[in-house]
Amino acid sequence: MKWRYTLTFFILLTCFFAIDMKLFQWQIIQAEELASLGRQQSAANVEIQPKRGDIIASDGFPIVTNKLTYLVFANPKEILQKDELSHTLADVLKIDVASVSAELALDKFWVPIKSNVSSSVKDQIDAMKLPGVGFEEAPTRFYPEASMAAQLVGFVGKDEQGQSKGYFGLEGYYDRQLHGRVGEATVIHDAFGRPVLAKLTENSGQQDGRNLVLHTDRVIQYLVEQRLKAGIDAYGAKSGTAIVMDPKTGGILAMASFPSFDQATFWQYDGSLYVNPAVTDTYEPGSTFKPLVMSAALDLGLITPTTTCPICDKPVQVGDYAIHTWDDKYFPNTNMIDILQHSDNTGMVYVGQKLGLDRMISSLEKFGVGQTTGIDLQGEVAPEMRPRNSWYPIDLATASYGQGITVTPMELIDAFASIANGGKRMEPHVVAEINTPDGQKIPIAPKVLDQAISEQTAKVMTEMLVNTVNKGEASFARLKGYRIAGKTGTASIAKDGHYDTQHTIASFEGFAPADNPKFVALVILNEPEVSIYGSETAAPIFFDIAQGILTYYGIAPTEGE
Amino acid sequence: MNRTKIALFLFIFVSIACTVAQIVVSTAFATDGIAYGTLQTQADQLDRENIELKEHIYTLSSLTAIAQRATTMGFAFDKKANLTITAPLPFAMRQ
Repeated sequence: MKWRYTLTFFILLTCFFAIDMKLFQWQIIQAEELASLGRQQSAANVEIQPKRGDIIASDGFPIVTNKLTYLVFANPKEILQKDELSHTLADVLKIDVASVSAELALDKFWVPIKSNVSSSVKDQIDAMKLPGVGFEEAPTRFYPEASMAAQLVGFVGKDEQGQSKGYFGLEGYYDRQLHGRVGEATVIHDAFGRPVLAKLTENSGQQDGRNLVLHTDRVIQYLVEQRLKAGIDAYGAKSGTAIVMDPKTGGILAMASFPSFDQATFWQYDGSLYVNPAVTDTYEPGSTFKPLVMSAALDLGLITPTTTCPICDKPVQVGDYAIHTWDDKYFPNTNMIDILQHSDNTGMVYVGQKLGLDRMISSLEKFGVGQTTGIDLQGEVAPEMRPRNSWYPIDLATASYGQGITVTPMELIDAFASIANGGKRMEPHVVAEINTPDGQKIPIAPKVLDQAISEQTAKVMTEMLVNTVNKGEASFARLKGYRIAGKTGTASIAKDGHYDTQHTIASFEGFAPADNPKFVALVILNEPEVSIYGSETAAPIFFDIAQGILTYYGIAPTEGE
Repeated sequence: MNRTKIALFLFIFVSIACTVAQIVVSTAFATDGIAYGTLQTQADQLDRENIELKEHIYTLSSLTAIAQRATTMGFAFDKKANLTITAPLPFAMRQ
């Protein structure tokens, strides 16, 4: 009898040993491998994509937000009647039957059929219950105001890894803020694939992108775009740019250039249209540069508004070059007020010579010439001023009336705006505030870059510019009843080593109301055909824009005719 | 013999209790999962509807849409001439 107990004991012992060995193998030797296998069966790691931040105009209306679109895909291995399905999908998605057929003919488990499909079309396909056809959610950028401010805003494309990325303008400059942080979460599901309450998004590290609230006013932007586009068409210009800025804060109220592009279908346009000419194009500003040089000389006490010009009775000879006035009219003993009014090049040569090279360069540096303004837009450039030792007398002479020196439109308006702001040059900004997903508001405070000229000089210069508007070449277009300070510009374009006087860059800069400026604006037309002069092309557009803004702000006229 | 019966009874009782406990717990988990899944689907659906409604509102209230609507209602931009040539303007002088 005892041997039976012993046998049973050994059999049980062997069984226990075998079980222990197997458990040892599973729990110690293959622990990692089996755990991973188990996780694959019951759990999946998913990337949680952040929602890209909105870009909101100053009135709280988003000019860029997100919308839901879908990618329609198919599994060709599940589809039996491929011809019929190809025709159905092509019909609903409004695409070529051949392209759908080609995709469905592939020996793959997943083929894309069409992206950017709207939810209504998705619902339509859903209702058909087509076998082997599925959808992936794909949030895309949505532009409620269509292509408004395209070059200011930029667009969202894909990077080398296929991830969304902002390019150009605000989308490029603030890409990290707008993008947010991708999170990762583990979703546990049961044997039927149903989710089980477990680690979800709470600790995923995912964070939505931040919203940008702009200084840019949607109404002014719309107004500027309409007026500029109409002006380009009316005057037969190749292109045009307009910037409107708040001189007191440096906030960009509007910025537009044409030709432009549509951000929603950016790939259909030439890449050269993506850049923002307001911050990337350099040009010789011509007479719109004169207020800066005149201000510098006034500020240093080298001249007063009533100082007379002793060399303004005929063309000025500088070395081998003779400098003429734009209309070859000369005004002997003209004063500084009239020099600006007549946009007299010979008078400005006199002012430049009074300044001298060193003072000219240091004054222009205070106005930010030759430096980037620091605006929060991708791709800003600043053409450097030539080195001090390579200036010749003719360079000093031509620079005094804005030729032979290059700036960007942004650089010029920022310098000019300092006259409207008591001599203080502000750092221009498009974004006024950054809003985080947790409700925090981070304002971007206005920043003074330099005191370019004294407050007193700014006041004197303002009066001279008001006189220029009222009595100068563009006086026919001025707004009656408003005190507006401004200056025209007609710059010859340098081509093949000489200036082509029949192809110009026509411009007008100004601010209003002159005594308490609410905005400063610059309008530039590239090679207008109807007239080559800024006074006859850019100035009317400027006053058209000014009229719209003054009406929008509810600013009444203060003077009679 | 009596002790063997008690041990067997305890063994069966513990086994049944554990089985019942496992069924209760796993059912609770599964029910939570289904409820959670339903709520998640509803939340996703509401999110989608919210986004679509916002899109619709933004489209209708955009300046571009309002301007188009204004045009169809008969409003028009001021058609005043931008270019007025009067002597002695440079353009006239060049002719």
